[in-house]
Amino acid sequence: MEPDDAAARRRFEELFEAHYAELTRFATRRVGADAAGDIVAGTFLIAWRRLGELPPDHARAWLYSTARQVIANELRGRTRLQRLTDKAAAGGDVHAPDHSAQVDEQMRVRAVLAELSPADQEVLRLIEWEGLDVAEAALVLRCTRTALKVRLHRARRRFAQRLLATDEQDTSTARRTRPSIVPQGSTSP
Amino acid sequence: MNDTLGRLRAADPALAMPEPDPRDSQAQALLERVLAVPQVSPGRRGRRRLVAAVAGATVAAAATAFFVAGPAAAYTVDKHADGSIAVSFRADRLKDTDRLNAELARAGARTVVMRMVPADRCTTPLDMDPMFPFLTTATPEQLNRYPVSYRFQDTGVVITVRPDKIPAADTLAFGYAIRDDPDGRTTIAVPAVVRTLPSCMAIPNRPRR
Repeated sequence: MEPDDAAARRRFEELFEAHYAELTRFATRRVGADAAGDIVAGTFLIAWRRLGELPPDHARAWLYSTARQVIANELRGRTRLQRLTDKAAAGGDVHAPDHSAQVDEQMRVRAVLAELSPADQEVLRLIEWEGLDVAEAALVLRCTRTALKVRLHRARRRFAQRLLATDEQDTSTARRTRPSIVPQGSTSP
Repeated sequence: MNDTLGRLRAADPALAMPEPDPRDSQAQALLERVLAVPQVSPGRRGRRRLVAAVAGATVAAAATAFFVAGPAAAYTVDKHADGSIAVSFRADRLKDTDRLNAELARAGARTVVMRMVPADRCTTPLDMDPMFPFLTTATPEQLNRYPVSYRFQDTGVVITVRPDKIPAADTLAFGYAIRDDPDGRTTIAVPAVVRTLPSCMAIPNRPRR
């Protein structure tokens, strides 16, 4: 093996070690566990073939950006488009243990997220779920850091407003529909 | 707002999944498969882009498919030591391509097999890589340059894919269909190197005689 090849291989192995887990989580969130392996494989394959183009300082952002493109291709092209989309909208097919209240809460929060615009959803997912910092997210979304901060601020505000509105709606609905058992002769429930 | 963001983070669907381990056998197998694929030199990519830009508009029309009288099990995927991947399937039995495509992705084939649909249900033209137009006839040299070759055997379609010959941003879309013709059933295969994966592939018109 040539020294350059050995160095490239070592660099890629380090890249793989550092980012395999988070890219797998990222792909699982987007397309579900079944298809996540394909996305991760496709992303690392491109990374390996274009290793020379990877910006050393922003490898993480580059990988996320590439993974998004691989996912977009996957969603566009496959006959399972609808199934994948459904999974993505539902936040993948990873399930929490069966704690009903917790699951209800998670479903409610994810449903609120899914109601936001795709741009709002994307910036919130990248920052709050993927843990990217502002600079990395700006690279992934190809905007300036300032623009990213503005987008993030607005997306957070809209998310909070909608979630709280949903909470209030649920509370009032529960009041209207919850059965009341009032003993005879009593004046209050 | 902090509370709502806390709730958003707690709703992360990945929190419930086991921590992916880059050193487990599955991840290591993936790593080895990737490392077995040749890298693309920046110069080579540049040339290819240039050719594509020049020839881009001229190619899409020549949609000629490859016909053969039809044959006889689901599918097989075999990866060879030289990096090529052999796929075989019976078009008349392959109803659901998802599992086959997942297998192909795991093998690093960069190939998606699609069941073609009648042309009136799929009107978007293929975004083909101009470097790989459809060929009605081909010399051995041309065939050697292509990332795919295939033949029809009595048991079905046998495809050999060379992923290293598929340009980095491309995918091989391999369409197939069965058509009932007056003179019997016909298997139709359309291998297309595409820059964007199509959502569907149309059964091509019958060739004029």
